[in-house]
Amino acid sequence: MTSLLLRFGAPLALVAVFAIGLLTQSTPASATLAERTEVGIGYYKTNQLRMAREVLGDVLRVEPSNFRALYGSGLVEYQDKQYAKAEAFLMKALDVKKDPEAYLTLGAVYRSGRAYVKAERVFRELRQDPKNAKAAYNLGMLMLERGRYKEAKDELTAYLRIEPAADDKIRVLKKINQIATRMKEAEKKK
Amino acid sequence: MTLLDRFSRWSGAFSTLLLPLLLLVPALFLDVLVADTFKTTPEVLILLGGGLMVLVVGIGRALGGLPALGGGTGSRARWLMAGLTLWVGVTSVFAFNARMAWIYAATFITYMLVGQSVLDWLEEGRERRRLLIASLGGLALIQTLIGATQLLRLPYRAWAEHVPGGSWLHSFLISLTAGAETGTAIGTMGNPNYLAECLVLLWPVLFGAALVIKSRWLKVTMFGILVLIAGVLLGTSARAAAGGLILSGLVAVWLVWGAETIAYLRQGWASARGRLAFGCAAVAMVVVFAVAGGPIVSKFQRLGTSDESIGSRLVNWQVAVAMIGDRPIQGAGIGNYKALNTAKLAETHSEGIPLAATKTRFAQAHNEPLQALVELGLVGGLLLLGALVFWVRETISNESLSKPLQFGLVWGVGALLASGLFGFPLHIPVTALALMTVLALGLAGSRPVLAPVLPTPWRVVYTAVVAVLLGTLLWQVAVKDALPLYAGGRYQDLGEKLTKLDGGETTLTVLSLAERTQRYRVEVIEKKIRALVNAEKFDEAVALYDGSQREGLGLGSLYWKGRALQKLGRKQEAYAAFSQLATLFPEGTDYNKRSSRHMRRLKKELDLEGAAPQRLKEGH
Repeated sequence: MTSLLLRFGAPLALVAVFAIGLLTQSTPASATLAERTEVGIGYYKTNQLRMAREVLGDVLRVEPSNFRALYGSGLVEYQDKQYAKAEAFLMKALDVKKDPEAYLTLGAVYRSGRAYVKAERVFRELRQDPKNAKAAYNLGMLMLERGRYKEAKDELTAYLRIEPAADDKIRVLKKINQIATRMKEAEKKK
Repeated sequence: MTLLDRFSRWSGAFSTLLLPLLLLVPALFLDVLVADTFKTTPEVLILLGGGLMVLVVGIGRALGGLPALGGGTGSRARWLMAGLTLWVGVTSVFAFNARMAWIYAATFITYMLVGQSVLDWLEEGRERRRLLIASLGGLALIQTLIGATQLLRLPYRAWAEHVPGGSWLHSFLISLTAGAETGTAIGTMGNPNYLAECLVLLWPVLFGAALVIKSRWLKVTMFGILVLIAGVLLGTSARAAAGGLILSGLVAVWLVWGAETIAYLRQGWASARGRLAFGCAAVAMVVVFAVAGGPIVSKFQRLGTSDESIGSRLVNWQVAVAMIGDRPIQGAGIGNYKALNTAKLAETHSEGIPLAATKTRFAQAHNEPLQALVELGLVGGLLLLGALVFWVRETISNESLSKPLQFGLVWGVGALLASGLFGFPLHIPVTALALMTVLALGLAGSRPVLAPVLPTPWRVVYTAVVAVLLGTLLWQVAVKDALPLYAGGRYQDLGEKLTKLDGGETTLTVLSLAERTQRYRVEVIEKKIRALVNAEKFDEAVALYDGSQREGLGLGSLYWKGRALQKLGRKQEAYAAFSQLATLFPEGTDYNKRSSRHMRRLKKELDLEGAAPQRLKEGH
């Protein structure tokens, strides 16, 4: 009987000891929805778009009106040049919260998707805030693309006035000089 | 046949399908260490698949009226292994860092249970032995073929470009480029040494099996494969593995055949077929050596203390010996080597770490017996040694195994252990799993298989108990532990990339998540300190460093603490931190250069303020 108990019971006793030991250990907590959103944004920031789309998609399935996940998804699609999808996500995000950054991204999406009129409307709306340097810059670049040099020059100049210590100051100054040259050439042709 | 018997047979058939998958599938993913603080794909696959195997075999035996986990009854090696497992549990409770110990203990017991379950499974039928050897051959072949293509520098990256990004095949091809671009054989194991260690375990087993194959063509094919494996093994240029293979081969011959060896050799030489076999073996050896032996010969010629890998190991072993002295009987607890090592390194080499050792972070002792003594103490070391000695004795006296197979098994395990004197093969998931199955092969059939002993009503009760206990344990190990830790690894990877970008909210959130899901948090904390400095949260960085001393932070964190203190204007403390780093790391190393630069600046500022304390001036 003892031998039977030993043969059948001893291995299970060992298993039981470990099972109890492991049960007393706290299990690592899984990520909250907010944390998962940041993970998704992290994947976007590190250019791992497939993972970012997957994680943010999971968040949106649970909470369809999560602003940060919607905005993040918009950024992912924008980065992936899926402008229609990016527009849809950003519009939904803006329905949840009127965020100037998200609106600016929408303008950038329009600009990249060559919806110039919509882009201009977005940037001009944002320019109503005189301190919005990014809107000035984006509007300036849009105007440059459209060949509207004077407006481009004014907006880029405004950008440097608002952000005198901008990291890209030298590059923008060069751009302004180029625009001035082009304007003179255009005048000569006339 | 009762219904219970029928279920028992079904579970047997299912486990027969499961075992080859368990051995082969993880080999298709890039491997990382068992003891890592997070779980990677192969390990999660092994834990999930192994857990399922344990459950299926255990329930199958219980249904058939046999004791679950009862194979190899009467084997002393098995009891000593069980004792070792229990001891791992005991030391985990009293470990230096229990949280860290339990992570690894959970993995350890799963591997042990898988080994025992394979033993149980093998005892159900002799034909299963062939299937297991064939699966081990498949594993060796996968690694060998990949290794060979890496030696040939096949353009894996170019091929990966034709495969959709993010798919398994894409990641697989990209992971192979690591070896293919440098012409190094690493298989899917991440390092040539890991591949060599796996192959030195498998090659002798396959060699032993090839010797007893009856079909002539199969035998020739097997020897052809063995020549290919030997070529890749040499191509890894792993000295410890190659040396271990030769030495353990000689020892295994002596152990299995003893003085009769010479008589057998004479007998073989006497026949024409025997001479042909010897001749073919000699030609094969010469060809393999001529084709792939160059790099390893030149590596052996560089052998000496000036050799970086030897120099770093000597320092590592010195530190390990000092660590054994701290807790000689009970050890620091399994998985605790890494955490204790940094502090001990700074203590034993306060006058400066030798240059050869500065490039290696000593996560492992690079000597399995020493690491076992550090983590499990003398008791654990003796249990392990006893288990291995009895395993060799029982394998050699296992009459159900042919002599060549006994020889192959003893040789393989010996070669792995010999290479483990310079590396850490028992910490590589695929190798560790293969080892457990090889150990099971040695013991299987060494004792008579028991007839069912439980009457039918008791079988039902017993099966329920087995299912609940094994299910609880394996659910805890594989699902509640391994999967979150797998996620933790991904968060850590992401956190590392983000830390290089900025120290913003996303970075800190991801790092916090990695810290929480990994339990053993050293690497994450180190990154978090750096991220907090990047985010200009200097107070938090210093507080995190000071509060995490017990976790065994790496010396790199001291640099970031110094940076934070410098920014906070705590110049003397910053100077002391940089001074410690500059002393520990010899001139020319990155930390020495960076710390010295900050020290010069701080010294100037402190001199100007007239605040430089004499103690610091004297130090430099």
